[in-house]
Amino acid sequence: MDRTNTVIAFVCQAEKRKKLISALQSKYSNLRVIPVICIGKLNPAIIFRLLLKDAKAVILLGCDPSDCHFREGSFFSERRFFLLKEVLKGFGFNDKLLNIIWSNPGKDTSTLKNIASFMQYLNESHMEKGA
Amino acid sequence: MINEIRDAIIHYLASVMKKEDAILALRYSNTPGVLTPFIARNKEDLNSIEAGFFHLNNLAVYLSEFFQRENQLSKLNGALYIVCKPCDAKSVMQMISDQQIVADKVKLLVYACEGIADMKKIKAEIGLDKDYKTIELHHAELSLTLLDGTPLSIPKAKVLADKCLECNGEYNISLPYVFVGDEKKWKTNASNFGKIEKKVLLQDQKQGKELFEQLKSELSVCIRCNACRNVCHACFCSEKCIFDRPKMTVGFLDKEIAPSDNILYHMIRFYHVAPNCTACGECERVCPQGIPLSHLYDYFHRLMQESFDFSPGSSDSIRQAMLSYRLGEDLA
Repeated sequence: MDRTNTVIAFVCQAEKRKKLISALQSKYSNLRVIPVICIGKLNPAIIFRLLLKDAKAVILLGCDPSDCHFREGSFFSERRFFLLKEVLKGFGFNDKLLNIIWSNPGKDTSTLKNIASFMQYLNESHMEKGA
Repeated sequence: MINEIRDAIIHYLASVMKKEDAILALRYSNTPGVLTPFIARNKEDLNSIEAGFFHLNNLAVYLSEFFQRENQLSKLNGALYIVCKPCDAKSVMQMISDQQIVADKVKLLVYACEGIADMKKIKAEIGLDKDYKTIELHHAELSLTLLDGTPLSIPKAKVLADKCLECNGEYNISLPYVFVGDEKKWKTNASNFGKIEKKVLLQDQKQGKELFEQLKSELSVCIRCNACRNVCHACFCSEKCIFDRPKMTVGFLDKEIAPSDNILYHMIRFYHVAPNCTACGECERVCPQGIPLSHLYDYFHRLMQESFDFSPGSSDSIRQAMLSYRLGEDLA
């Protein structure tokens, strides 16, 4: 698999998301879905490394902050991802390569639409990393 | 003037120090113009305490390591006095609010600082190929003797550190502390150390690819010696640092020293440090490659204030911005 063309998606692993994960994996050949326990548990250093070196773009899919299974995981991660985007901006990095989606399990159609538009956006615009 | 303050510090410490107490301060070393940190455990050590123009170090860095070690040995029964500048007190407060140290055991001794030296400016004044034998401050003049014996004097205002020129004397220390010197007089004095043009951050001038390319070229000289990490009081996970663990399941950094890895190193570091960086400027001072890290930490310091209404080091009881949340807040 071509590393420079890979898109990595971290998906909050709720029970209802199994269908979504399999749908994503079959639909896009360059998308890798990595289920995580809660999106709030993700180490941001991994995202930095992926964006700078190992992947083309990163998708973070978390539950809506008020509906997090672990009560406050998404509240913390909301702030964390905000800072993450700001750090990328502060270094002049293209922060559009990081797509953060907050959606509840069960709302698969809107999530799929969101990801589809993001993938289309990546294909159409040949964005450089520091842009 | 500064000698009086040094004597006052020693006099005060000698009067309050008990047998179990320890004092964290700086003392003279064999290298001229360099003070080294040390811990005084008895009254005879007090006489070697130094303070003043060459008090460059932010001693808050040593606190967490000191307490970790002391707790293991259960050696410290009394209190720890820390001799610091008013700007270092911010760092101590931030460490207490991050629960790195216990507030009861630390006693702040703040003295009326009259600005500190910027060694890189001194080096630029005397010439990079020359070195000095002795260096001393007499009122507003810095008198040096070069290695070949030629005397030299430089006005103090020329070699003051940038953060002292920006200093406005506004500090709210929320801990109980002792001020050596006249505090009110110091506050008016501090705003007159000198003037500097207000720094325009690089992030305001440039954006996007231009900024990325400039930072990439600036950081390409980084040798990843970890000096900025070791001197930082906000970088406190000393034994669990991800940069020290190349054999972890995820290798964060490759072994090669490539510009892209340097950017990654600094991104991760600034992400970790941004919520509790008090802009003490130590990382820029210790950088052996002279990378101007200030426009990075100043940017994140401002970001914290603007987006979370939180300024690190303002109190010893505020919960850190990344470890708290507000319901219904609208970010981005």
